[in-house]
Amino acid sequence: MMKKKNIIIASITIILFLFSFLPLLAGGSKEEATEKKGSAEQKKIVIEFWSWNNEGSYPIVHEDAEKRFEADHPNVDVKRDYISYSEYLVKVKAVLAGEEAPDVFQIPWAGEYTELARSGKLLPMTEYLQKGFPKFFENVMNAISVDREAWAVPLDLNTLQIAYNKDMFREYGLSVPESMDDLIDITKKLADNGKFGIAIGTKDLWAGADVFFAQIAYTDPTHTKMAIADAGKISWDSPEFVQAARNCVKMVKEGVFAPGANSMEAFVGAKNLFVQQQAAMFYPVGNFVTGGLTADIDKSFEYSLFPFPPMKKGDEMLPTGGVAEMFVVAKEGKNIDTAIDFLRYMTNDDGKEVLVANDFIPSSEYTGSTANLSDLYKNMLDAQSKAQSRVVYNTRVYTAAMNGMQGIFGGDLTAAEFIDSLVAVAKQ
Amino acid sequence: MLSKRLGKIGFIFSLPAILFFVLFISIPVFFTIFLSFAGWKGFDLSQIRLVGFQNYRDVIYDKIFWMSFFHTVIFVMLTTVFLNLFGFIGAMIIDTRIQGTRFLKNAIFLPVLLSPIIIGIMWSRMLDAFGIVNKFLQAMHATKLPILFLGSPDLALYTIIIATIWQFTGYDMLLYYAGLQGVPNELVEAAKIDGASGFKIVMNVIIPVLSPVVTITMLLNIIGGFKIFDIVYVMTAGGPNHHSEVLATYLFMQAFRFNNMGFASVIAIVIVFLSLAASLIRMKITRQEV
Repeated sequence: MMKKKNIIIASITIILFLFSFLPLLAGGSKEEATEKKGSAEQKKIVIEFWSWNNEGSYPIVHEDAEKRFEADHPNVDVKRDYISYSEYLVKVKAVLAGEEAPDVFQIPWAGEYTELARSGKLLPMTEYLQKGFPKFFENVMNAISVDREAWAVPLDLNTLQIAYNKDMFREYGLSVPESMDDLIDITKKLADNGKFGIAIGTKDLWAGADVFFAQIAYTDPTHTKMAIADAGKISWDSPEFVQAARNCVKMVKEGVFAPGANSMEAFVGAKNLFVQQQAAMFYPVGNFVTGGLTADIDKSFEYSLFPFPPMKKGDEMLPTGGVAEMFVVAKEGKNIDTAIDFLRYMTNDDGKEVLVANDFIPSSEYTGSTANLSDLYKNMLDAQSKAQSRVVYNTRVYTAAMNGMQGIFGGDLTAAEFIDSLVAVAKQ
Repeated sequence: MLSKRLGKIGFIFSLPAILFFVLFISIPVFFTIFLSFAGWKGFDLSQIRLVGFQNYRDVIYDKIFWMSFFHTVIFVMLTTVFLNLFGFIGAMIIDTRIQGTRFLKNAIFLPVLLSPIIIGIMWSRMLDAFGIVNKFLQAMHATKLPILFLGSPDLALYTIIIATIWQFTGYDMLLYYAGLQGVPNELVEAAKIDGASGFKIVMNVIIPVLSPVVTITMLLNIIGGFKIFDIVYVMTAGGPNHHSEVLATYLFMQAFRFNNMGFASVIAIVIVFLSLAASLIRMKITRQEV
């Protein structure tokens, strides 16, 4: 009786144990089935594509490239995956370490880029970019190069400017500021009428650092110091950076920005202030957000863009900008040639047409028709031609700049303390 | 013979759990300890190099680590005290079973079922400089300028603590409510006959009987507090300027922004050590009580 009971228990145990491996067995048989199907037809190449930009018009651009590429390559299937930015880098690092990276994937333009380029996991692109790709702008090539090697394919460019409510400016008799003092005067007049100046959201950090970079465009007339400091060849306490930090503190103290920057996200709370006409201006705005912004405003008022004004009246207005979307190929990728070919489709003339049609600025010269371009797009194209760098590749310095600007916006950090924090992390 | 066979069967039954424990807990823990003595960017296993106690030295001299440690301790202390206090009060109210307590029980417990990410987003929107809370305060003429709940260095951490207490009070309340069902009625009745006031009954009868529940609930709160990440990350991401940085968010920054896996591993060990210490205290106390 006991023996029989034990046999039953043992049988149940073995069955349960085998059941625990069922998913693996099922996985194996699915692969087998796909393989059989594949050999029966023609074996399809799957190009995995990762990006975090699933909002605005970027998916239209990606989808268009996918369709054109698949039409010309019937044996290729482009599989697009959008992963939220908050978890994107974690996933990218995990798949790179596990040598399971997607064939083509988007990569950040600052901070992490250098680390990723030096990880030994990305395919060097310099040679490939000379074959079948358009001639990218020189400053773009500089931006994607680390240790004299290009590591990415740049898709488009962006500029960061201040959006302003033209109707509100007209109503209060204001004009585009030509100097920082003008900007301070404008915000004072707006405050008198119960309106805020520039709405900015620094809760998600990056927008604050861009205010600092926008000032460096003026405090460093050579436009080279940021890159030199980033390379560790000069200190971040050079007078150009100190002055830029002072400008930021001055603007915050003079009430140029709407209150509560640190408690608002750039494209949620801050944008809403502008859309709801509580703030007359909104920063940062570029082609990456104009589509959504125009839709949200829904013709309730007219808006246009201007860069942060210079310190002195009469000096040239200089926006900041850089590469927007760029893509890399994994060194250990299974379909390197197909992946690179797909990137050629993204950046070729047809790709540029789609970019321009969706208000994006291509990273190489656009020779198509400009007859139907909107004034806003022309403004951004013009800004692009003068744009100064907003890129710091040293992750620690970039992070310290973002956090430090939160301190300045919160009023608990002086310009000197901000600069000290940059110097300290740059030494690490 | 029979016990030997049963032992084998028992082992086979336990094998999936043992495999799971070894693969997903033991190996990662030992790898983290190993990494705390190594320099690694997190990309290529072949690039791991041993650096001795360098990471520990870096952590000790890191100002932001100590800020986040201090914030974590404040977070743990305040959430533990208030979660237990409100949880106990809630359980006492529900235990009266007067009309409306059923609704109250469900209403207080509901946030526990929601993801901290959703709670974080919801509170962030409400506490925005121009969110509903500020609009209400301004409408009531309580304040002229918006209160920067999440943007002020002095308020951000405490705002997150309030949101956490709001979310998890229901969890503590349920534990206390279950504990209250085990309080012998005759003890309470005897105290009443002796003329004890309601407050004295709670302090001298109910709480001593509930002490094992109090211990376990407090220690669960402490362990949970040391590991807190998601709600902080969503509400402030540690800002402004690190004023709400906690150990787990700083670990995330070091690991996935700075690619400093060794430094991040040291922070992970600190969190594990603190949680382990809390667990050991719990075990010691519960053993004494048994």
